[in-house]
Amino acid sequence: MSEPIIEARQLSKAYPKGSSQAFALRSASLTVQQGEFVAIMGPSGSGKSTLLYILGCLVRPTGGIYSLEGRDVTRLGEHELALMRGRHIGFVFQSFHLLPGLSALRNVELPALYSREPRQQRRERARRLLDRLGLGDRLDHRPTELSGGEAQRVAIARALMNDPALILADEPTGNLDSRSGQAIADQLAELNREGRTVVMVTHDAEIARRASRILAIKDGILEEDSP
Amino acid sequence: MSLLDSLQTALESLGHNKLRAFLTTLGVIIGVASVITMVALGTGAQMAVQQRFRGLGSNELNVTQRRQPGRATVGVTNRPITYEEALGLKDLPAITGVQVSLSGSGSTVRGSVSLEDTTLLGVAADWITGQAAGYISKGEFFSDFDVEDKTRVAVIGQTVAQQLFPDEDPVGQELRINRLRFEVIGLVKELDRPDPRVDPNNQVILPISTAINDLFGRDRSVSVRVRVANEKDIPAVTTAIKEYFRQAHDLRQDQEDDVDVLSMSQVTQAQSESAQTFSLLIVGMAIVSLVVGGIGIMNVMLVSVTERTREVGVRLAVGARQRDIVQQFLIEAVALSLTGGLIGVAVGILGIPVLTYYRPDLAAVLTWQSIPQAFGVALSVGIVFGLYPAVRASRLDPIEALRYE
Repeated sequence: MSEPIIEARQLSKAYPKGSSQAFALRSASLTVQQGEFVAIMGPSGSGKSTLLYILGCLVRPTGGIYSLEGRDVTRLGEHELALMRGRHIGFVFQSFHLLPGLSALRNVELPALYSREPRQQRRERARRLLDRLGLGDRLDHRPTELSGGEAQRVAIARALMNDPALILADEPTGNLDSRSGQAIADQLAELNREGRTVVMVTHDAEIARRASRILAIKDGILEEDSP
Repeated sequence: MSLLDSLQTALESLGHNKLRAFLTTLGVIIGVASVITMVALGTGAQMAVQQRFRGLGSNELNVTQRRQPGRATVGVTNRPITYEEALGLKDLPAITGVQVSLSGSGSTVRGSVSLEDTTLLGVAADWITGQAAGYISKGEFFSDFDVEDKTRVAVIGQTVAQQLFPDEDPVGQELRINRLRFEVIGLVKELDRPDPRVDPNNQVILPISTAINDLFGRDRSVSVRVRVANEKDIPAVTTAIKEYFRQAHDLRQDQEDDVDVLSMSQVTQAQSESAQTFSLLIVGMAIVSLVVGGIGIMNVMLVSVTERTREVGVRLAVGARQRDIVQQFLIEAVALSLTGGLIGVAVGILGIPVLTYYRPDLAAVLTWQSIPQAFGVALSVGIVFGLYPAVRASRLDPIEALRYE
């Protein structure tokens, strides 16, 4: 069996609230193998987004152990976390989070700006990615000129820009009609078939069914049967 | 992110709200422009003083009527220094020479042609011995007899000659000053023009007695330059000159001296003192206006950080480090302040001729050193006041930032 890409034990995230603490995440343990497609389901406020952001190295957990691709993330400095986010992880958000001032092409390029890839090279690759996602004729469109489905495909292209092994999707179909939602889910499934690991948070059972495994989170607690 | 990419990102962000960017830089524009103008005015004032005392040797003294506080206009205070009083200085011990002059400006007329702003200089006949050989290019200078008899003779500059006597030999002709006829007896050679605002060739030199009698009247103080045999004598001669005028002007014991006696070293000292005061003033003004400008930049950058909270979250999510975010916002702040500096320098430079047009009595001389200085200051304003908003942006909680709508 191959090395698990994600190995997390009892992750928690607490925020100071007055003299006590408020827990956004109490205890989440999960193991994700290379090449899996995992859906995490739970009601809103269950801590699933917080978990996803911890897995994505955007937020440090206040407790627990987390290793990503065999590296203990909790010991990494800010600089190395940024490198992890930039080169090993691709994010897809519910409300797309494209920068409104930039064209689709420039939005897709963004991760390569921070990994300091030469302009010519990154532009070429961004163009190919958009082409592949069927947006070859939308390169110079601003996000406001795109439909929801198109915007989310631009966001997926952006997530793929630095060729990450792990795609994290936070309610990727939450802002889309069911047809566009299905298309995006197809897209994620295809990325998974290519060998990328996908972890997706959703409350849509229809979409979750596309995953190879479904985990449930409730009140900040995620337990999975030990493999 | 590379510096070039950061710069592009910053300029694009600013470009999305051009009016706001411009208004933000207004404080820096005004600050930099006024510093440029004030420095030019200070330099101009300094050069005007230097001009006035040019050629004052180390063994020479300048005697002027003291300007009484509260009465700004020269010539109405107390007693003026008269020509006769000035000549009387020759009898004081240790004084080897006294040069008296009186100058003003007026128009010269010939027939229907008139020339404005001509410098009218009244001097004694021996004045010409202090000038370089060949100063008179044609005709002759006036003599002691002319001074004694107050004859109406004039030695004219090239500009006067060309304007009033085109294609003619002016020597022997007549011109009018204050409706009085003067005979042109000499022509001054073409003089260099170091300061474009002053034409040294637009001048008429007259016997000083004539100038007093016919043009300026006896109420105006003459300028006196006294030469002493030895530099050591300056303190004693200074006291003697002041005492001489106390008696001549019948001053009471409790009244202050009404003349100033200045040597070159005193002039230099007074000048550096006033220059120091002036530059302190400029520094103070610069600090105030640039702090105001800087706060404006900080304010707008803070607003901008708040508005772009989500953008910061997205950038962090795709791999930006905190220092990338700091760099991005700092470059924006610096771009704002430097643009302000650039426009400010332009406004300052363009403002100087406008200022001197409305106030021709103010001399302003632009010094190129003040331009890089202004840019340096603008740059530091951007960095100092941009740092806090930039650091704040980089410390945003990514979860909050990405949820921000």
